[in-house]
Amino acid sequence: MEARTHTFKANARAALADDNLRTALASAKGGFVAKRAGAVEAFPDFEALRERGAAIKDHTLANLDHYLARFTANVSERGGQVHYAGDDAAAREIILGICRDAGARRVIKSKTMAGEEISLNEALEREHELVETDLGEYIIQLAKEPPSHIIAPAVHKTRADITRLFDEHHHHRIDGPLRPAPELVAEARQVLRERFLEADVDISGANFLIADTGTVTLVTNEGNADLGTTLPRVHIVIAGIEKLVPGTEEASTMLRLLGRSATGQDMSAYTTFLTGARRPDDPDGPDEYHVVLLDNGRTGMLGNEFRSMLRCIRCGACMNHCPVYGAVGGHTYGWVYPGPMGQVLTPMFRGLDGTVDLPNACTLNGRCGSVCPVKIPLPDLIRHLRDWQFDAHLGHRTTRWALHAWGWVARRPRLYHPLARIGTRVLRWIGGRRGGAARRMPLAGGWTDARDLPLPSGTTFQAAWRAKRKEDA
Amino acid sequence: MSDTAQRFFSTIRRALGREAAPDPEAIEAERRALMAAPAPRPKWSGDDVTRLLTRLEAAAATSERIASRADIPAAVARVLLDAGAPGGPVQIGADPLLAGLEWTQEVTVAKGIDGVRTAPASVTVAVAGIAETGTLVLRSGPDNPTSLNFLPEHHVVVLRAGDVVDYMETAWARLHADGDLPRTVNFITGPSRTGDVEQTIELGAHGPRRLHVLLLEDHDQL
Repeated sequence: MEARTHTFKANARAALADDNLRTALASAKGGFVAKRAGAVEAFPDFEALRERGAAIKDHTLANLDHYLARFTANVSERGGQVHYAGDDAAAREIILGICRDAGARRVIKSKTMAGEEISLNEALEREHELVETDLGEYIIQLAKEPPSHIIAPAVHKTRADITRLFDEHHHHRIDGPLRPAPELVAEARQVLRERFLEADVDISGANFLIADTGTVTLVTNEGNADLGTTLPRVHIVIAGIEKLVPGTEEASTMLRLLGRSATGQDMSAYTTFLTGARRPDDPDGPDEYHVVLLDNGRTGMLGNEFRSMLRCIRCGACMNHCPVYGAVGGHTYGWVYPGPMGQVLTPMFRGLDGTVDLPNACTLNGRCGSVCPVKIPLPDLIRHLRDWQFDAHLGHRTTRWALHAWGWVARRPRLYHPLARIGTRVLRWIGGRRGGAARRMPLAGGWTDARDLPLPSGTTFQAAWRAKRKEDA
Repeated sequence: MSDTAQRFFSTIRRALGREAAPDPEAIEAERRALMAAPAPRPKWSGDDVTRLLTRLEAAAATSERIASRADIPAAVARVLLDAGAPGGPVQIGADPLLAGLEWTQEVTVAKGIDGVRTAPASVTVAVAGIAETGTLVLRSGPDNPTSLNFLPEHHVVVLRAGDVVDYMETAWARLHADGDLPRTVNFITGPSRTGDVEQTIELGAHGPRRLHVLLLEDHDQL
């Protein structure tokens, strides 16, 4: 998909003015947060589970070459083919090649974020009939839009939107009455069932790759991925190399984290483990089975300070708990991965230029880091990206100038202390008139346009500290 | 190893700061140490079968206990009646547990996967049930073809009480003990569902609308 990360601010303004989007986001948000909280509450020691999950991922990442070789050998032994794609273009070429060799006309796809990352749909649609089978993905395919959430891709669509899309595409009519959810789901089931039965190739993602057995794990609730990986004669998996875990025991721990963090389920309806191609006496399953492993910038993170980001299991908890995401929605972020995880991944995958606003669209409130099932220090990584931006001379000139000036003063205590005293007094005086918060502040318009600036009611920290010491003595 | 593969692996090794392939024994030792502590897992009071059935119910599945495998046809007939398709056909695989059953006259039984696209119901046999989450474990193959678990709208799963285990790890130990994993292992926890229309849960998105579990309490059978 074409990146719109460089227009983040304009995207955000448009999103904030979109009443339909506000309705959709408001109804979704509370549900995700409450369901996760309930599931975590019911688990005896979720913190220990998070520790274990992070340790498993760290161990696997530190030995990624070993586990990757093991995974590959096991898939090959069971009739599957493993392909390596260094970047998005290579991955597309491999997948298109497999489809061509198979003489495929109709291709179906189960939701895959790696597929979004490599703009697979655009490439496939040029040569094949392509249908997304996850209901959310199907809805946004009809709307010709990218997903706005990594586990609920159509979270920005209201029932009225979906009614309109289905009326137009299934019945060629407009202005029909609002339809109930069960009717819409039943209609999608009927339409998509045909697509499952006639497809030549299915493309799926993977939630985990299990090295010991060469097994691909898929976690779904609808069952679309199961029909897709069973009925067509060719099955292609596309997955990032960070999806590896050593064995089924480790996978069990990761599954306990994933469901609870994503949807508040202790287990999704369908968790499926695929090992190789169809066996000689199997009555169903694909004859041809391919796994495409994607680097696309991941090894860069493996070798720098952002390795912990590769622990990510794509549960979506960080965005569900992010006040910025909750206000502007996923499309505002301008590329495949929205919310806090996207604010780190997008600059890593697409470069710092053109993604300057992403690490700054954050209040550093820390909720994302505290709910992350694999303890990725998201706020630290976002802060770290701001450092990188500063070092790379990116960002607005006034901001950079102000930071430079502050840095210069802060390193000179004899200058800093009197200036801080004066500043505090001035702010206190303003606060006294406006009730402790300023609606406007010279030079800080970007900040105060959208929120009030809380003002100091007392003295400077240092003065307060000195007074306390004197008192104690 | 192909050139592409070699480049792929050398990029990873460079990122990890190592020259050659690592020592597998050292990695295995580190892994064993990491996994030595017991996994944090849910706990429950009461027996595993009750836990399993309670969790299944929470996942919107239905269940009943049956005393012997001879009770399977009558239970399936009731599911067909609820489904508004009393005559079936009901689709089954070659599992020995389902062989030679006496079906009532009005129910048609279809074997294998021919006809599964239109059959209103299917019966498959689980190799294990996980009490922790109320999960049924099914293996692909001629005994229980995977498409039977997903195409019909009504899915009946037979689970022997003796095959109910406590945790996911125990189910894996059993699966590994049977040798190589099959093409597909399905962990099924309730019927198909979606929350993609305004986050309200609707059952029967693509897979079965109903999941009904027959818990077989007869320990002597097969």
